[in-house]
Amino acid sequence: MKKELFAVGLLLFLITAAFLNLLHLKRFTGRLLGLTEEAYRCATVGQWEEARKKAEDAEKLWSDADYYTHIVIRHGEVDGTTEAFCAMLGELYKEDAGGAKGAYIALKKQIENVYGMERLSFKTVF
Amino acid sequence: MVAIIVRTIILYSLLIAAMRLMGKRQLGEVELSELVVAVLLSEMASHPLQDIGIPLLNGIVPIVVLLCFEVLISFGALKSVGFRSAVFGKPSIIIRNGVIDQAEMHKNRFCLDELSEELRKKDVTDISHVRWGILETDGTLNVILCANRQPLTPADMNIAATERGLPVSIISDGRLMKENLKKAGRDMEWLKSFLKDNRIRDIKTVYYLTVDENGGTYLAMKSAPNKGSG
Repeated sequence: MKKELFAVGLLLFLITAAFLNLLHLKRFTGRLLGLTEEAYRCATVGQWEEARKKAEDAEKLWSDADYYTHIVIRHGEVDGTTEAFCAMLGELYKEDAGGAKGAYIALKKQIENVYGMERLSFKTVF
Repeated sequence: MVAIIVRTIILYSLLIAAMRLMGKRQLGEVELSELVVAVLLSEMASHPLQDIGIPLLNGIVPIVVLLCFEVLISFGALKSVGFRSAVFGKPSIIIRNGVIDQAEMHKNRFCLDELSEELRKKDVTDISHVRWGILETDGTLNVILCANRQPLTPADMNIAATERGLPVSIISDGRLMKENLKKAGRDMEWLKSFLKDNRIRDIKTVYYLTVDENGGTYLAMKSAPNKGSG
C-alpha cells in the first residue's frame, strides 16, 4: 500500500510541479514580451536609446534565467530565442526601423513558442 | 561528451531502479503492460542520452510517470479481478483432453507452429497426452499431462521419500556468507570442522559450498588458473 500511495503522491507532485512551471513560464514570457514590445514601440517613434535599453533589459532577463531555461526548455528553442534577441539588438543599434520590425516579429514569435510548446493544448498533445 | 556520460549514468540508474521496482526478474514473466512500459522506458531514455539539446527532465519525468502508472496498474490488478482481466486478459485453455480448441487458437492468434514449439519446450511430442494446455496472460503455454502420462512419483509407488532440504550457500567465490551460515542453522565451529575434514586451509580457495537442512553439502574448489604454454 505504501508503494501505491507513494506513486499517487509522486504523480500528483509531478502534475502540480508541471502546472506551477507553466504558470512561471507564462509570467516570465509575459515580462519578456512586454519589454520587447516596449522596445519596438520606442523604435517606431525614433527613441532608439530607450528602445535599446528596453531590449537589453529583456535580453538580460532572458540570460539571467539561463539555468532554468536550459533545464526545462529544449536547447534548440533556447538558442533560437537568444539569437532572436541578438538580431533585434543588432537592428536597434543600427537604428534600422524596418529591420527592427522584422527582428521584433521574429523575437515575439520565438518567445511565444517557448510558452506555447509547454502549454497543454490540442496542438501540443497531438 | 562529458554531459552524455553523466546523462547515461543517470538514466541507466533510473531505468534499472524502475525495472527492479516493477518486480519482475525474467523477461518471460513480464505481463503485457509491463512489457509496454519496458519498451517505452528504453525508448524514452535513449533520446536525452543521444541528444544533449533535449533537457534531461524530458527523459526523467516520463520514466517516473510510467513507473508510477505501472505500480498503480499492478495494484489495481491485485485488487480487482475485472480490472486485471481488462488490462492483462485471461488465460485461455487451448488444449482439453488432448483436443485442440481451434476457436481459442484463432482468438489468441496462436498458430499451430507456435503450439508445437511450446509443447516441445515442455518435452511433449504427442498432443493427445495433454490434459490441459493453458495459454497464460504472459504468453507462456503451461501443460498438464494426462494422469497416466505424468512421471511417476514416490507417492504413486507408495514409497516414503525423504524430504530434500533447501541448499543455502555458505561460501560463494571464496567469500563467507555469515548470514546464510546462521540461516542454515550452522556456526563457525561447524564450518571449521567441515573445512578441516576436507583438508581446506583457506576459505578463499573454496569456489562454492552449500549445506541443506539435512546436512547434505556441496563443495567445489576453485580451479587453478591456466598457465600459458611455452
